[in-house]
Amino acid sequence: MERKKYNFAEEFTKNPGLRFRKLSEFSGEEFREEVLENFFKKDQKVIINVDGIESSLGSSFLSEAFGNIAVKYGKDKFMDIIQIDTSSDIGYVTNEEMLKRVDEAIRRANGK
Amino acid sequence: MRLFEEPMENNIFLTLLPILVSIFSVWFAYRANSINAELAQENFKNSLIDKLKNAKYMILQLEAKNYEHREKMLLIDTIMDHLLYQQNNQQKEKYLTALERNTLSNLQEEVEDNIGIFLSTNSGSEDNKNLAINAIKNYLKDL
Repeated sequence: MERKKYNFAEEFTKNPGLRFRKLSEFSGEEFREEVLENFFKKDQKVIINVDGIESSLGSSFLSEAFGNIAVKYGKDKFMDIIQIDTSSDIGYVTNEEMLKRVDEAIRRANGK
Repeated sequence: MRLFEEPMENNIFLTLLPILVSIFSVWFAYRANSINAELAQENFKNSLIDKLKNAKYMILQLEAKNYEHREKMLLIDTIMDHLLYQQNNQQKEKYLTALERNTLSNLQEEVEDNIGIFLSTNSGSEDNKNLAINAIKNYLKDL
C-alpha cells in the first residue's frame, strides 16, 4: 500500500493543542484517537508533513499522541506506519523531538 | 676535549629545538581549544540560565482569563522557546550531560502541562503556576 501523505496544518490544525481534550482543542489525545488510530487500524503507512504550522507540536502533544500510540503498538510497528516529512527545518526538528518523546514514553511504560 | 663537546651539545640542542617548539605549539593549541570549549560551555549554560529565568518571569505574569485557542498556544510556544524546546539541539548535546538533557526534556513537559492547565481553566489554578515555577527553580539549582 502506498504511503499516504497527511498535511497536518491543513487536515488537523495550524495550532496543535495541549495533552488532553479537556485542556484544549486539537489536543494530542484527539489527534491520537481520531487520526493516528485510523492509520494503525487500516495498516496505512503515512508521512506527516508539518510545514505550515504556526505554533510547534508541543512536548505534551507529542508525548500523548505519538508516545502513547508507540507504547500501544510497539516501536517497530510505529516506525513502519508513521513518518514525519523531514525535508524542511520544522519537519526535521519535529521528527527529532517526536522520536525523543516516543523513546521516553516507551521507557516510562517499561518502568525504566 | 671541550672543543669537540661544545659543538656537539649545540648540535643536539639545535636538533631538539624544532621538536620542542612543535610540542609546545601542539600543547598551546590544545590548551587554547580546551579553554575555548570551556568558555563556550559556560556561555551556553549562562544563556540557558537567563532564558529559564525569563520563562519563570513570564509564567509569573500569566493572567487567568478566557484565552482563544490560538492565543493560548502561541503564548505557550513563546514560553517553551525560553526552555529551548526544539532549539539548540547540537549545543544541548555538546554542553549538557545526559542527565541534564533528560531533566530539561521532562521540565519542558511538566511546565507545558501545568501552564496548559492554568490557561485552560477560567479560574486558573495558582497551584499549577507554582508547580511550573518550582520545576524551573529546581532545574536551575541542579544546573
